[in-house]
Order: sequence, then structure tokens, then C-alpha cells
Amino acid sequence: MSAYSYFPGCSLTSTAIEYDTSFRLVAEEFGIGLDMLEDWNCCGASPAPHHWGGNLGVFLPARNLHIAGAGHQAMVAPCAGCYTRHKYAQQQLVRNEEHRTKVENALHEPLRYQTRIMNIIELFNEEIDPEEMSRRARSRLENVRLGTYYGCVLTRPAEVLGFDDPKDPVSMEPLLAATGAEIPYFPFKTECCGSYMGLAKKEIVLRASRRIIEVALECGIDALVTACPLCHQNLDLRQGQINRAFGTKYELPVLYLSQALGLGLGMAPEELGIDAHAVGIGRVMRKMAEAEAQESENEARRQRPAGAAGRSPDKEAARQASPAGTAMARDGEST
Amino acid sequence: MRIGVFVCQCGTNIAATVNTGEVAEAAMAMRNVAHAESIQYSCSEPGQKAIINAVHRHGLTRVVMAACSPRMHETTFRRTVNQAGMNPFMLEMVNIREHCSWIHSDMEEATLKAIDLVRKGVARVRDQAPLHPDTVPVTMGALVIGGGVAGIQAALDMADAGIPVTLVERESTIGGNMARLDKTFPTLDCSSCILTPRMVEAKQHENIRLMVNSEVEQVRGYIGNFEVDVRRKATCVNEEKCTGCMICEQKCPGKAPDEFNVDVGESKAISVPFPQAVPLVAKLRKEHCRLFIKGKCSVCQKVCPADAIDYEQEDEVLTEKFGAIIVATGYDTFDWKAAYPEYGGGHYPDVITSLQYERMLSASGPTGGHVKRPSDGEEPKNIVFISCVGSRDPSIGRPLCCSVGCMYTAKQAILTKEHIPDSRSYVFYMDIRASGKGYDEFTRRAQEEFGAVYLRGRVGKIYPRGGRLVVMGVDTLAGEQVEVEADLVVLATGLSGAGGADELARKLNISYDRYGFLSEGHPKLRPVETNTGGIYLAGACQAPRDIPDSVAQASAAAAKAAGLLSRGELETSPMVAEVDWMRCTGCFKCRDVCPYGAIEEEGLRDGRTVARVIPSLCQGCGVCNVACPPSVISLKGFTDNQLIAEVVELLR
Repeated sequence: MSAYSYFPGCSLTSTAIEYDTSFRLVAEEFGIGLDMLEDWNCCGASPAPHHWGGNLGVFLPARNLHIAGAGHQAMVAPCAGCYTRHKYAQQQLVRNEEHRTKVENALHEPLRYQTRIMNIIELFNEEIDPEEMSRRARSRLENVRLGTYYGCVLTRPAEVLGFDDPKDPVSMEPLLAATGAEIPYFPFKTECCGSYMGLAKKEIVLRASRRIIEVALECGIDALVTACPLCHQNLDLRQGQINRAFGTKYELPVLYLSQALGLGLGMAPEELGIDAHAVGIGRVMRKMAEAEAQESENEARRQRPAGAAGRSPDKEAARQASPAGTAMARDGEST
Repeated sequence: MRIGVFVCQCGTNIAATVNTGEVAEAAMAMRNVAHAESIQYSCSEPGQKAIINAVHRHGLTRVVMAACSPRMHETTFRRTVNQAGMNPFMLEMVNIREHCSWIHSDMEEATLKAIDLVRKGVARVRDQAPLHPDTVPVTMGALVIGGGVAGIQAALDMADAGIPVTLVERESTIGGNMARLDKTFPTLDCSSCILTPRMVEAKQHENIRLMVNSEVEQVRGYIGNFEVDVRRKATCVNEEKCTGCMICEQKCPGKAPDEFNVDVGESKAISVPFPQAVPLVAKLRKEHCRLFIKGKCSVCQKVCPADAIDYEQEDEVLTEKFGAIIVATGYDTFDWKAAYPEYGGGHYPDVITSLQYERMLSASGPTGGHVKRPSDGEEPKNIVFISCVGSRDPSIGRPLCCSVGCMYTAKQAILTKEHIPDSRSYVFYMDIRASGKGYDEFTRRAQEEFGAVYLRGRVGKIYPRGGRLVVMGVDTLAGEQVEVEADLVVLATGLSGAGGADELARKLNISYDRYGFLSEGHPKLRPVETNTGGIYLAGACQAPRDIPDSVAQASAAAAKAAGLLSRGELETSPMVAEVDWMRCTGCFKCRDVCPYGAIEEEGLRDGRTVARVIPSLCQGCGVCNVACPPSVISLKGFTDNQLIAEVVELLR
């Protein structure tokens, strides 16, 4: 039996299937064992906590925790929504004996609710050594400027999740930086994407997500990296709607954390399901090709006897010339 | 022995939770108690009269006051019983307010506790002996720590009264934060123009000795007789020889951060902080000097026409005695970067603090009074001011008001319009707090006459757009979100006690709060005193305050210190340690532990050497009492018998 129980939730089995694919690939690369949670049920998503007096939002995740607890110490939920729902339910179960009794009456056995719940960032940060990542990634993402986008429910409410800084989260950075990517300052990393308002009032999502894309391009970001299927949907799938609604011509790729790491590890975009995205990653691929050319040039130079080892000086200079946050390139709006 | 017990009601402060009549009744039943009564306000004139009358009528020889903390009124009641003809130390205070009524809600239990406390006090006063205070001479001289406007004012006031003053400043010039300001609200007086003459006066005053680059290292002694070690730090510049010509600064090849200009612009490893500095003397910062980093340079030594550079200079420690100490260490502005990632956390060069902006506005500042954006040196047209950065924000653990932000922001908005007539200022504020004389009028002028746009609400985010910054906030009066494109954003950062104030407070044995502000003796009645006798507070070291208030408080502190020093001698507390020399073995453990150096050796005629307490130095802390192996030291007023009697009563 592997170390982690894996709760995919609805998104990773449908609209965000590429998140599932890439997550498993990266996990496999580092020998992180995942056991699909058997007979799992819905986490409750947005509706459950707001109906049945809110308690359904506790009971549904409770059953998942119970099943996971049978053979695992920890359960990983890569979807930010699923992660939050389970954490919230666990807190309620710890605090409220009545809730526990109700679930136990339904399950006819003592409830296992202490299973540790992890999100994908937590899992990767604990299981993957950045140095190891750096060794395997061989600077493939050199010069690619990745904007870390956390959205809301990965870190909030802080008193429930206790994960990273809710105002200024940084947990994605060590591993992404280990791929050679540049992580510029991105002020909108926790700004609202519009969330599920896409169903009720689409304009809200379009306006909110547009601003995130606009600021990302302003910061010279080549691709956004997220760990939330709903954020991804709003930023990637709706990017065309945004362009139509506002007459913009944005083309900003949005990657799942596992996809970005996968690219860094040399996996093909198709393998990682990136071809399923609405916005292509041409811009990232171009920079990766440049990095590769540079790398082989360096390799060739290393072959030569007279010590021209190490990084090329002009690349070093280019890196220093664009410190985080100050580069405000306008080439974001491609034609 | 006839003991009187007076149970104070303190209005309802005590009587609402403790049945004082019942306590008095219970006291009557205690051994040796000849009289007990409950009094509404015993510290008032009729209250004190009632006590005096009772002493006479019942022939009382000891008094127990069940009232407030001895910190509050012990002196008052000692005076009362003295007036009644008793020795003032035949009084025992029992605290049934702070220790009982204020912290309990159940009347029955609180009353029982009060009775227990009274029983304890009665037991203790039975063993009390009359005590007689001694006197010590007061050292004529005051130490002022911190050379900002408050410290300068306090030093000048005392010096004018004929008191020798030593003014210690850790920077290389006096003037403090006020020297950094361009103009002052609400009159728009030039800050330098009103401050620099005072700085010069302080330097030239015959009664003031100025010590810059100096810090207080250790403080011994007590009210009237402090002994202070001051460390004068080496600056590699001979203060007597340096003329402040600044040739060294011009030629110095070593760049260094500009502390005086809050990093607007750059400074050199050897520099004079600003042209009006007092004393006008250069200072070398070794951590930035090429000679000390790389071992090769000494340009300044070569170019100095006064031969004032001395790389071998070492720290000096001077020890001096003072009768009084005034602390005027001022404030630091809040370091906002980690607390406010939403304002860029320091990533945007064009988001600056108000103190940095002040240096830009100043004609003698690094930009010569021209407002320039740090990013590209352009003159900004749209300037956004954000109030309460690090103030009134419980979410970052700083609920306090900085008390000056509203005013200096209005001032900066006005000055901005004067510097750049086609500019527009936006001020995001929470409330406009302008309660001083002429203050509210001033903030209205900023809006009505100078066209500053005031938006009531907080800013949620600042982000870049096309080389400018978008300030995203809420206008709570209009009830809508607003976005303002800004060329420059100025943060009105809050205030904390100056860095190191907490450490100094520990050396002085005075208390301080979580923001590094030093605590006054009583928020209303002892605003410039501390809880350590002879140590006073002036200016923003005690709480955020503006220049007029700092100056007023400095004068108040100076008056207090002068009052103390003018007395010539002080009554010392008679509650000091006493050695039973008959039984003393002369081990001198007591001398090892005494923090005040109050134990000396005394040779007896029988050839033995025993310990003797110097009453004028002893502070009655009781450490020797505990350390004495044969247990022959007792503390007057706190004898072992008294303490045991108290404990026995409590355990009864």
C-alpha cells in the first residue's frame, strides 16, 4: 500500500482530467505512491455547505476521511476546493461531537476523521527535494517567467487551513524555481478569479479574471501556474470570452502546478495534457527551446579543453537585468 | 496595642463587589482591633478627618487601611496617621481594590477574600515597629537620553534653570526625526528654521554637555544618585579637530546607505548627516569603509585639512553621576514591507513612506526639494496618499492610532500642490483625526484650497499598469470600488518606540509596551514620571505625539526633574535591611548578591569582621535577606516574623 490516499474529486475526473494525468506523472517520477480512494463521494463543493443547515458540507467529506483513514495516514486532494472542504469538515468534526455521532450512526462504526489532508503543494514540498528537482530539470525552464497564482481557497480561511501566508503565499516557489524558471513578483496571486459566479453572473468572472491576466502580462509573466481547477477554468477556458467581451487579444497560458513541473522535468506537453487547454503554450515553448539551444551550446563549450565552463556570462547578465517585479514588458498582448 | 481598621468603599469601586460593612464588622472581632469602620472615600478630606478623629477617640496605635493599591495612596495615609500623631510607618495598606473588588464579580466570595486580606494585614501590623527615614544628598545634574526636539527642549529648560545637563545622542547629530521634516503642520513653519537654532543653543549652552555617537550602557543607583556608564562609540573622526568641511565626504569612494535621508539618495562611508548637523562633524561607518572591508584606502585621512581622521580611535566609556534622568528616545516609523504585501511589500520603487517623501520635499534634501519618482526620476502628477499603514489595523496586530498621520498627510498634500501646481493628490483615509489647535481647519484647507481628493476607505491592492501604479481601494462614502492611477504612492506609516528603547528600558528598570513605547507612572496623574523614581519621560518615546505635545511634555519632565534636584537632599525609605551583628558570621554572601553595593565590612572590637548595611544605598529589595546563611539579616517593615504572621493568618 502506498503512502497517500488520492482523492481526485469531480474536476480531476472530468474538466480537469489533465490535472490528474500530470499529477500522477510527476508523482510517479519521484516515486510518490498514490492509492485512489475507493468509492469516494462528492466533497460537497460550493452547494453542500450552504444547504441542510450547512451540515451536509461536514457529512460528505467525513465519509471520505473515514475511508481514507482505513489504510492511510494522509489523503491528498489536488483540487483546492476539495482540499478546503475536507479541511473545514475535519475542523467541524473535531469540535463537534454531535456531528461525529451523526456520521457514526450512518456508518455503523467508529468514525476515522483524523486523516491528514494535504493539498498538492504541501505534498510536493514534503516529498520532492528542490535540489533533486533542480538536478532532473536541468534548467529547462530557464528564463520562463512563471506567475504563481494561488487564488482564494488554498490559503483561506487561514484559521481553518493553516497553510502558507493568506496575504502573500510563497509555497509554490521553491520547486518551480528549481526548474530554472523565474518567479517574478505577481501582486495578483491571491486576487479573486470570480469563482463559481461564472454560472450565475458571468460578467463578474470575466471582469475579475481579465484583471488577473492583464496584471500578469504587465509583470512580464509567460504563464500562470495554479493549483485550482476552477481558477484554471476561469483563466484559461474563459480567456476567449474575456477577449470577446473586452476586445482584448490576450494569450496567456495557464498551467497546473504539476504541468509546469512536468515541463521542467522534460515531459511532453501532450503527455501532460496541456494540449487540452484553450490557450496554447507557444510562448513557453519558445523560451524552452532557447534554453535548450543555450544548454547544448554550453555542453559543447564544456567539451572544449580550455575552461569555458559554467553559465554563459551574458545569460547571467540578462538575468540580473530583469529583477523580479521591475520588468514591465508590454509584449504580453500578442497579435 | 490598639489597632484601627478602616475599610474604604472607594465610591462603588470597592463597595459594589465587597460588602465593606461586613468586612469592618469581621475586623472588630480580630485580636487587638479596637476600632473598625467603613468609609465612603477615605482619601478625601472628610475621610482622612474621620481617620484622625478615630485615632484620637479610640487611642489607636496602629492602623490598617483596607483600600486601594499602596502605589496609589500609601503616602497619603502615612501622612494622615502622622497628622494624628502616629509614626507614619505604623500603617499597613491592604489592597482590596486591584487585588479583590476589581477582579472578582461574586460579592459573597469577594467579601470573604477581603476579610482574609484584612486579617493578614492586622497580623502584620501587630509586629510593626516605628521607623524613621534617613536623608541622602542629591547629585546636582541631569542626564537626558535622546537629542530630538523633546530631549533638546528638556535639556535647555533644565540648563536655563542652572542645572548641569548631559545630553546623550546615539546618532552623530542631535535633531532627531524633526530634522528630517520639511515643514510642520498646521502653520507650515519650516522645520529646520525652528529646530536648528535650538540645536545650536543646546550645543553652546554653558550648562549642557553634548555627547553624540553615545549610548547609555549601564545604570546603577537610584533616585537622586544615579551612576551611569555612557559608551561613546568610535567614529574614526576626532570631534574636536573636525570642522565639518565635508571634503572627506566628497572624496570618499565608498558608497553607503543614507540613513538620515531614509535611503532617498545615497551617502558615503564617511559623511556628515546633513549640512545643519550639530555638532557639524563627520562620521566614518566601518561596515561600509573600503579600508576596513578591503584593507586599502585611507583617502579621507589624506584629504582632511584638519588632520581629524584617526582610524585607531576606540570606544570610550564614561561614568558619571546624575540626580535625575529624562528619557527622550523618540520613535521609529513602522517597517511596513512584511505586513503589507498588498502594497507591493517593497517591490515597487514608486511606493515610498511619508518620511522618505518628506526628504524629497525638503529643500536641503537629496533631491533639492524636487519631487522625483524613484523609478525614473520623473516628476509625478498623480500622487496617492494612504493613511493608517501600520496604524489602526488589528489584522496586523497594531490597533493603535499614530496620532500624526492625518495631519502630516494633509500637510504633504498641500506641499505637493505647492511643489507641482498641476499635480493632483488623492488621500485614502479612515477618519480624519485633527483635534489639535487649528488642525481641523488645516485638513479642510488641504481639500478646499489645495484640491486634495479625500477618499474614505482603505486600499486593497496596488498593481502596475504601463509604468504607473493602479491603487485599488474602496470609497465607503460613495459605496463603490475605486481605482486611481498613480505616479507615486506615499504610505503614512505608523509609529513605534525607537529601536532599542526596550533594551534601554530594561537598563533603567522602567516598563514599556509591545510597540516599544515607554510606560508613564499613571496615565492621568503621572504622565511624565515613570514607575522608577527620578526617571522621567519626554516626547514620542512614551506614545505617538506631534511636535507641540512633545515640547510641552519635555518642559513638564524638565520641571519635574528640576523640582527633584532643587530639594538638595532626599528622604530615603527606612524600609532597609539590617544586620544582626551579634550573630553575623562575616561570610559576605549578602555583599555578593546586593545589586546596589549597599553592604560594607565593619571591624568589631572583638576582632570579628561583620557586614553592615549602608542605609542610604539600600533599596530594601530583600535579596540579602534571603541569601544570608545564618538568616541574621532582616528587612525593616518586612521582618520574617511579620511575613510568617501573614502566612499563618492566610492558612488559618
